[in-house]
Amino acid sequence: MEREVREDVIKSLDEAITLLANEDFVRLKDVSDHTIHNASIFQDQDSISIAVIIFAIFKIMERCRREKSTICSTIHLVLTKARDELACGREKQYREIIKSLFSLISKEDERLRLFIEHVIDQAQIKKGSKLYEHGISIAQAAEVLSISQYELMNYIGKTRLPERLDDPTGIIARLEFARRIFNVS
Amino acid sequence: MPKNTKCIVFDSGPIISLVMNNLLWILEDLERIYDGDFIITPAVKKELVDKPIATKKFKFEALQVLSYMKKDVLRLTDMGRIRDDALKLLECANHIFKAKGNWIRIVSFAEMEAIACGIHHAADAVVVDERTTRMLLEDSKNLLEYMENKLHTTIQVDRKNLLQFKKMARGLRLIRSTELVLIAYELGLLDAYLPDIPESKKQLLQAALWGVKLNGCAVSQEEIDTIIMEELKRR
Repeated sequence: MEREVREDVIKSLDEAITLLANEDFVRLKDVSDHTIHNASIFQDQDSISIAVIIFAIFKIMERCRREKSTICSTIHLVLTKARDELACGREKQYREIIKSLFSLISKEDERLRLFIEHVIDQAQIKKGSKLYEHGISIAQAAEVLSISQYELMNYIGKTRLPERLDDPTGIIARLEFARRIFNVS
Repeated sequence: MPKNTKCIVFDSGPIISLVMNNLLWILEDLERIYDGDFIITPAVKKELVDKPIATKKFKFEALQVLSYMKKDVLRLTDMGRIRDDALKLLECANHIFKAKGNWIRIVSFAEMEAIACGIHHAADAVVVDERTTRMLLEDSKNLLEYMENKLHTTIQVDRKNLLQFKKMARGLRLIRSTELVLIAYELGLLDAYLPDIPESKKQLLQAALWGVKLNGCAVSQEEIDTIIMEELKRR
């Protein structure tokens, strides 16, 4: 893992752990958004997975906050363990702990299993759109997140993200060119 | 392999925009009117057909695309030497912008294969709905400013690779699914959808253009308004 990525992942985990301890779940989304800068630049699995996982935790806590659930303390415990492993440079152990996070939550509350699957899918699409927002093409973002381009295009199309850069050729010039190709007067 | 001497190459984005709007059929008419080949590359086919066919969610869309390939409306090109050019383009494009000591991979192989195919066949156009690829070819300065702003970091540009990329793709013209839909509209291909309501033509054009936009074609609301205004003036 690149040094910068490791430092950023540890920082994100620290922030997430504090927010979970303070039951300030809404700001988990901001932590996930922050990690996307490095995810866009490095496109490595650690930057990508931490962005997806923290967003998924945000979604899970949105649902579980109303219930008297032990999920929050389970997530807090797992993230703390993962953070400590990474801080000691044990990357393999860190990845294993992170990988086990959602199966641990599912074990604790069987009803959450399908919801978690849905939330992870949603988180991957959301993070794919964030990569696109940072200048990465849709196809490349889909590839990095291992999601379908159909899915990502469909999601991005319903946001205002494609509005943010003007068409350099200009719409009229592009139309005229298309008309010439198809001999439309 | 292309049958005709003239051709248009498709990236995966515009086909996705069309199939998600049940508008893939316009390609059959457009190909006949164009009197040339509509080409896709193996990597684009992989995105459109091979990957989604193995899933449940977009399997039907994949089958629809496949049916147009079977009808030769979309012809799969034989890559051969094009693959090397695609790899060169990919290498160049993904070694233009550098941040935090790392090259930013901004495009995928499939996109570069479509561009390489367009170059190789001297295509009349490459249809690309993707904003990043178009910006890289047509306005890399604006793309750089945009990325620096979004990533909150300085981005170094490798001018040599940028020039090499632009040199390889020189003369290549790009259009989007938006333009294809507009041409289909102007040719009356969408007339079956004309509603019995005031300003029916405007309503139809607006609906079709928003359809492709909402399925990922990088076209802005302002551009759609401009197209509709221009179209009304033409009439």
